[in-house]
Amino acid sequence: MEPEWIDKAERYLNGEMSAGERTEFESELSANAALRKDLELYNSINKAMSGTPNENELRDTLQQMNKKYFAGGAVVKKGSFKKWLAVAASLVLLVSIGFYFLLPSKPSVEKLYAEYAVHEPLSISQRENTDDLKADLLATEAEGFYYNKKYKEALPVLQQYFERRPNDLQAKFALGICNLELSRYPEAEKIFAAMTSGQTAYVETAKWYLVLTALKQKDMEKCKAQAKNITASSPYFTKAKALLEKLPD
Amino acid sequence: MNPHPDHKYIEALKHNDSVLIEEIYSRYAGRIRQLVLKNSGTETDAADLFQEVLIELHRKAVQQQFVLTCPFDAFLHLVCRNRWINELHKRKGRAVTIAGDGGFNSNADVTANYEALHIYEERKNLVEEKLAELGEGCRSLLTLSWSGKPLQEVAAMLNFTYAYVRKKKTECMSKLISLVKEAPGFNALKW
Repeated sequence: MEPEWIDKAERYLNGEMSAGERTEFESELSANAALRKDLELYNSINKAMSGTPNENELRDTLQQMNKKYFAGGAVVKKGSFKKWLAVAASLVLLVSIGFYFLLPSKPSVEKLYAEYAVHEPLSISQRENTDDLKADLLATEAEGFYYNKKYKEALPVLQQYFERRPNDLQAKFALGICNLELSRYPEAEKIFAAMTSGQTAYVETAKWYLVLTALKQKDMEKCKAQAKNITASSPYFTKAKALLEKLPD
Repeated sequence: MNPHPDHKYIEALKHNDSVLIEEIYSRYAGRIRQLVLKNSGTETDAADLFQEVLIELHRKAVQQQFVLTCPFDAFLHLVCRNRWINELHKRKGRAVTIAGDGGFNSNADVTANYEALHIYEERKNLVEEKLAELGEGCRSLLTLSWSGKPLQEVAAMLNFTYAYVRKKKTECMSKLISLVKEAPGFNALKW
């Protein structure tokens, strides 16, 4: 099942289709038994893996009963693995964004970097009608590595992609970020610096990334100097100001 | 087929009716405990098994309109017994037989009711197995999306845009479904 088809199926099942789209999808379904089976499979996997709306209340009831009817029943593991995963995910989030605030003194440069260097996800695939299938495949591969923070693997794939689509500024910027994450500072700086001029959407973001590049290198003077280039009209102004206040002396 | 009078227990699990649920515990928990304790399990194992089976029945009732057409005790015993055998199999790494599960009338009716539940469990096991083969990103994203949280919230949690999360989710589902369909056991599950 192709992702595009799944997106359709999902919109169909969620009632998000327009009347016209719905009729078209339904006639497609009625003409094609394999599609009907696929829709059923998709729906059934989602159902099998989702809890029910009142499952947690039932779990609470069962917990009470377990305490009463089984010796040591109170220590039964609670919830399914899903619930734990959700808890774990929120913990990761709390740790990553909230850790700083729990610390009494000024945080280390590493922690500041981790707090401020939050990269936008990469989304470069299938934005154009596929004039170049190879480029799209590279894009998808790069997105995957990038999403999983595997910058070392993402970098060569992105480079190949960029050679095929040299006008893709998002890819160019992502190359800068990969270099930054891999501590290849001159390469990162070169890309960001080049992007601070011109009329693109990346000018302010590039300035901000020059701040981050200096920060990661622990060059406080340079970091402060770069932060001063971020003016009040920049979307990064508040962030830059907050960062300056937290920088170690 | 007509529901068995004991179908009331399935309804109770469906609607979280604590009075009838307590009746399930007072009538049947003892026997399941015996079954587990006699077969290398602990009291906690028994409580865990009992709870998870009841949750499974609840899901089946809510999502598939499961109708019980045989006595609940024999049915529950069969479900718990087979689930416990599976668990022992996993723990010991080999097939096991278990003792002391006589005395139940496992007739065709009970077996048919069990099969209806079992295929649902098997499907779920297959999906879980294939989910484990996906990358970590896909795994967390799908698991979070199944946790009942709206996708907007999942996106916010992961610090991504909604559009991106939605796109990724369909890509991950596409991969998962391909893996499930290619699995050797897929056809036997009559999906």
